[in-house]
Amino acid sequence: MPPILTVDALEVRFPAFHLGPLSFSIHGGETVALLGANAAGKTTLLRAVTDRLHDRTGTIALAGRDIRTAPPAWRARIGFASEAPLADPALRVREWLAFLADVYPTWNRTEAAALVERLGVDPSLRISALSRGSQVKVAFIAAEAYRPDLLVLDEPTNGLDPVVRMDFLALLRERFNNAPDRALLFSSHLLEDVEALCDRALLIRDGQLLHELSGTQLSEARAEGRLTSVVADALRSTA
Amino acid sequence: MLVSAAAGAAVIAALNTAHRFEADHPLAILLIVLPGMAALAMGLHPMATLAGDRLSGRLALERALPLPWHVTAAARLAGAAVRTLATPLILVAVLVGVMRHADFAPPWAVGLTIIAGAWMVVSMLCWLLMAANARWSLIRLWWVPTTLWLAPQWMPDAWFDRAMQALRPIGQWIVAEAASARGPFRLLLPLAIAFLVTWVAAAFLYASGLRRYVHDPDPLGLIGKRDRVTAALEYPPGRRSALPALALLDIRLGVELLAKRWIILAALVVVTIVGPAELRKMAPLYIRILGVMVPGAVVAGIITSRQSGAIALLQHLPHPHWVVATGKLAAVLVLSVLGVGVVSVARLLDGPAGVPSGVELVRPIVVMAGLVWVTAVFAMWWRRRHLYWLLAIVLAVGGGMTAFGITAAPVIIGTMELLRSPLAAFFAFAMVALAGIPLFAHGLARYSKS
Repeated sequence: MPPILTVDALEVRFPAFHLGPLSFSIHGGETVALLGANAAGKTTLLRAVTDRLHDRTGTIALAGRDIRTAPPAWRARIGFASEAPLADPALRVREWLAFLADVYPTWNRTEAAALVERLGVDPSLRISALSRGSQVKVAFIAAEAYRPDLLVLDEPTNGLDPVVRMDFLALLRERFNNAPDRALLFSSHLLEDVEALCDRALLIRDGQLLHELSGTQLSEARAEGRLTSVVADALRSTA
Repeated sequence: MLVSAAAGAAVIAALNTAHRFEADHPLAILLIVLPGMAALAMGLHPMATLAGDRLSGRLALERALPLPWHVTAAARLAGAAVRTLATPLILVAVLVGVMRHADFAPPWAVGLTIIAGAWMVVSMLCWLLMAANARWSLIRLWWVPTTLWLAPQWMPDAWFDRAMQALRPIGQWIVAEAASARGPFRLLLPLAIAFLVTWVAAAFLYASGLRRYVHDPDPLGLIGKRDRVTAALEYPPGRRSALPALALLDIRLGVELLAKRWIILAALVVVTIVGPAELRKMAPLYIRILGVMVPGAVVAGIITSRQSGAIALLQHLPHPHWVVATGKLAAVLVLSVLGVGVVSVARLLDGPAGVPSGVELVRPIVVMAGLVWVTAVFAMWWRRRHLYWLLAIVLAVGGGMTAFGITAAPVIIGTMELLRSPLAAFFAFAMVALAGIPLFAHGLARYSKS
């Protein structure tokens, strides 16, 4: 079975920033964290992986097919959520979800309703009236309710209060820990998120993939309570 | 901005000097009216910035600075005065053209007086507006400029004449003073005193506004009103395929905007029936603009979602991009029906008498939908580099027309005449629709948030 995501020699050039060349892959059942300082290139990498950057070189394959040449239906295999839903703020949450149900053939209405209830989102509110945390939740529901093979989250716990954050991380664990046909890629500054969720961490700095922490390294560091220092050392050692 | 204004002023002055200026020549509009409007816009720009700060909540930063509020206010107003320097620069450039054929050479002192005087007057106007906005919020005071604009029109003629007679000696005195040897300086002195007094007064008013400032993102209560107005306009639940879903989403958003504007429409209808003569002439035009804005909501949606990056959702739907384009076209068509319904109100008020025929009802829909669709396609497809293409095409077409002695006006009038034929209008719409879908799809596929 091919990896869910394969990135090969990816390069993105901006006037003041250069990402890559980067190569890595993510297999089914993996939850992978992308770590790095501000302006390290995390969001650029996530945008490239989700085909939101037009001017780039290299190959990005999803379930074995180049996303540039794959048929349009292939796009339903990837879900992306950042800190706000990509919706007109005048719409109500239930309208937005009803629209997505119409345009995503694999949308699961029962699952969407369950997520709305579990995350405590009021579907009658306009998106403009949602708090920052609720916007994150709606963006997550919009990306998850059609069950993409690869879910990409850009700093998903930003704006969530500690209780909701723990619930949200538990929800992600339930959905991805025993799902061999799905994978999660997320960026975060919070090592608690990494500790709670991921099997593998990619460390990025100045647009370069500096280091990769394997599942074993993470488990050992987690068990010994020194995950933060392991990550910091990894970043320093290559500095 | 000052550098841009100075460069613009130099260009305008050069054009005005090179051009054999005749007031009735169409170029006069470009060389006087447009720079004049630009000068006014630049003069009021600091006020617009403040209005943005007030609405967005950024004004709270000035409130929190570790300085007395009147110092902060005075500094901001002083900065605004520097920014308004752009206005006299452009005004002088326009005057170069106006004065170059004058029989007398104006003394240099008059030129300086005009620059300094215009700057001080514009600055004072800007300060007063800024201070009023900081203290009371001009959005809530919308009725003040409206009244100031309408009052002279509703004023009885005798009162108006009396007011003009009272003002005329002041104007005559200013003209006489400006023409005398030491007059300009005598004019500037009271103006400078008024300038300083206004600055101090506006700073204190602005400071009192800072003291009271609380961020209100919805000063007119529009969000609350939208909740009430649009209760019945929701995107309906149920299963449908992608194309009608895409169209329905835009229709729902467009209808919401129309619902917001029905009060304006009603006011314009009332004005057309019982308003003063000048407004009666203009109101049907505003109604027609409202009508075009109904399908225009699709274009506005494209532009804003391009800027925010939200268009990426449409780009990544699991459907071909031409489906998205066709959905937008369908929405434009449906909303054009509503838009023409609004325009029909204006036609009822000032159009020809009698019941319009079926063709007369359908043709405007097709024309409106075609024009809005072209704009929507451009909004999606347009990238900065296309500006150069457009300029090249305009130059090539303009050059060709000049070479063959063709002027633009008859071509435009001829095209409009051609579109009066229903068959030609339908044909043109079909062509525009068919050509627009792949272009829109191409623009969507190429979109990448910068």
